[in-house]
Amino acid sequence: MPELLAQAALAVLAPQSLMFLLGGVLFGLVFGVIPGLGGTTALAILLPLTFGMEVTHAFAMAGGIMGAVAMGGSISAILLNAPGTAPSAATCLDGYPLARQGRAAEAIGAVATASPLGGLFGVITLLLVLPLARDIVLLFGPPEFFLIAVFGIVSVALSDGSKLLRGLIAGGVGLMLSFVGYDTVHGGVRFTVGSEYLWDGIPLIPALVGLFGMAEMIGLSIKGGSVAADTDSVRLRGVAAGIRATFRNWRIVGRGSLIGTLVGAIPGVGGTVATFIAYSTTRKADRDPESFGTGRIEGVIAPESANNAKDSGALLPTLAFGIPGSAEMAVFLGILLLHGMQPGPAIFADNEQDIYALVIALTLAAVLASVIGLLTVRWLAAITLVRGRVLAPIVIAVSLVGVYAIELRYGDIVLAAIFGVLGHLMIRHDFPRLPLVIALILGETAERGFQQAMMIGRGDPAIFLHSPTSIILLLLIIASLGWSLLPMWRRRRRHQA
Amino acid sequence: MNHRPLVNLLPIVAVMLFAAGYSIVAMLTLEPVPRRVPLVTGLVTLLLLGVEVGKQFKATAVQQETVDVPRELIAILSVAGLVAGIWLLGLLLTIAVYLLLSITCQGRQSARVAVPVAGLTTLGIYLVFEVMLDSPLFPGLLFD
Repeated sequence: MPELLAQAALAVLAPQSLMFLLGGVLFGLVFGVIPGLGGTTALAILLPLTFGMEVTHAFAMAGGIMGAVAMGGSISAILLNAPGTAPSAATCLDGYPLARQGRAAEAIGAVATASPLGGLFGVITLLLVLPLARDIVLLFGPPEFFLIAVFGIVSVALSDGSKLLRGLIAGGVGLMLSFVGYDTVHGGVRFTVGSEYLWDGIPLIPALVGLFGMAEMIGLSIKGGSVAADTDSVRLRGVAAGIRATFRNWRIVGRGSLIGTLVGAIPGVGGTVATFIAYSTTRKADRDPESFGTGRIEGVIAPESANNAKDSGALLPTLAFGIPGSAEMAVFLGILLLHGMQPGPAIFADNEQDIYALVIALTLAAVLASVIGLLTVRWLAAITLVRGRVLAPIVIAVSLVGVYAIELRYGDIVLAAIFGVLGHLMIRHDFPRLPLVIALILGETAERGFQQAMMIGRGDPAIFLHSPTSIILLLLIIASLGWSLLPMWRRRRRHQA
Repeated sequence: MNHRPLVNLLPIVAVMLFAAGYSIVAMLTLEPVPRRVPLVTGLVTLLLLGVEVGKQFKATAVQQETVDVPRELIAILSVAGLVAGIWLLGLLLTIAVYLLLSITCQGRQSARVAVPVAGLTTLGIYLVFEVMLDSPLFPGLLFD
């Protein structure tokens, strides 16, 4: 491991990789600052560009984006009370009041320190767990793969408590779409409506670019106006006080980072939940919880520590099982597939050095993003003033060209546009998009696992109870269903009473 | 019942039709074993949609974010126009025209802003994809 780690470090520190890392960081910062865009959109737009790149370069760029988006999102959360990314929403609670008190720089200083520290914690945890993950993955056969795919879909579909049913419907539609094309177990093509283009199934990358990148842009072009209205509160004095406060509150940093890594590793729960849990835990543990929300620097440090640590946590299920922990990881999975890397047991054996390169890129990106973020905060905030109706057509056009460039197929352009409109309609009618994406990704794994398991068990469903791993997974599925449905049932009973 | 749930029902009905059609196709065109998973998925989704319809009927009017429907139609149609234009005229020419029209008509910017933005973006796309990545851009039916 140390040799491969050193080789990976050398590969990432090569001038060309550093250039891609820097490009990713700048792109991530810009997309992080603009509310509604975020890491998923940034990765979705840059995903096609990574085609033809060396894996290390692609990972450097992706790591740069993932490491930088959190910083960008928190800058607009503090300066404009408009979180650039969903996980940065928790930073608004005390960050914006600090900015209104003229202490924006102190808050940004705290973000610039807590964010890379959290990232570093997550990366170290990931490095410690990765060698074990290889052994854990080998415990999985067809029944376990079916069950873990179901667990991934169910936990993502149920992750938004207010949209349980709609999440399940979106997951169902995603599954139906995932069965389009060639049946890998029994042969023959299905649901292709006579189109040869669909024989290989619905290509993931155009679908992701459409659902995340284009859908947000269609929404922005309808709403109009600029993304934000005011950047007056940008001042850059007091950064050092924020850095000092972060080191003084090292316990909060540690707790936030741990929460970020653990919660990030649960598929579908994601970074937003992680940052809010980190915030509320710190608030509860404080001697003066009532003062949170009025401009406490601890209220910025806690969620920010979790914000960057979550990426390392989310990488675990993505790499080990091909189950993305978040929408961002779903797009990152597209990058892996684009470079011929199949998530699962083999990924650690075949691509160990590349995985280490990614981990190093993530760490470097978090540090680089903090430095660049501090230096460019004034200009980054100005991006939010660009008119939506000017920005949207540019992003849509670039996305479609990028999608076409992967396989040079016109069908990919049409598919990205269809998914763009579908994504917009899902936002408009309050349907979560993530369950659809996760189901689209995991559908084939689930179906193959089910059919193969039934063949092994000669049609006996008891095959899904044959090992401790599958029993644990079944219990997890039941527990996640109960965890989501129980509060709903209680609410209904209270309402009836 | 009021108008709001009826409006909310439209996308659900559309998805119901899709799920029903999908299940029928699975039943009619696939062998019993290969159709198990797709058919069960289609039917379960249909059932969930039925529950959602029931919920919508019970729902009271909810304050929703107002959406400018004509603008929404323009935004969706402009994407459709862009895709059709690419098929006919190719990527570069269509993107230049699309950006120019979108920025002037939808973005309400003057030609002094729209022309350089459209020109520079198209040039950037050409340089990155055609020159740097050596990836030939779709020429379109008329220029192929």
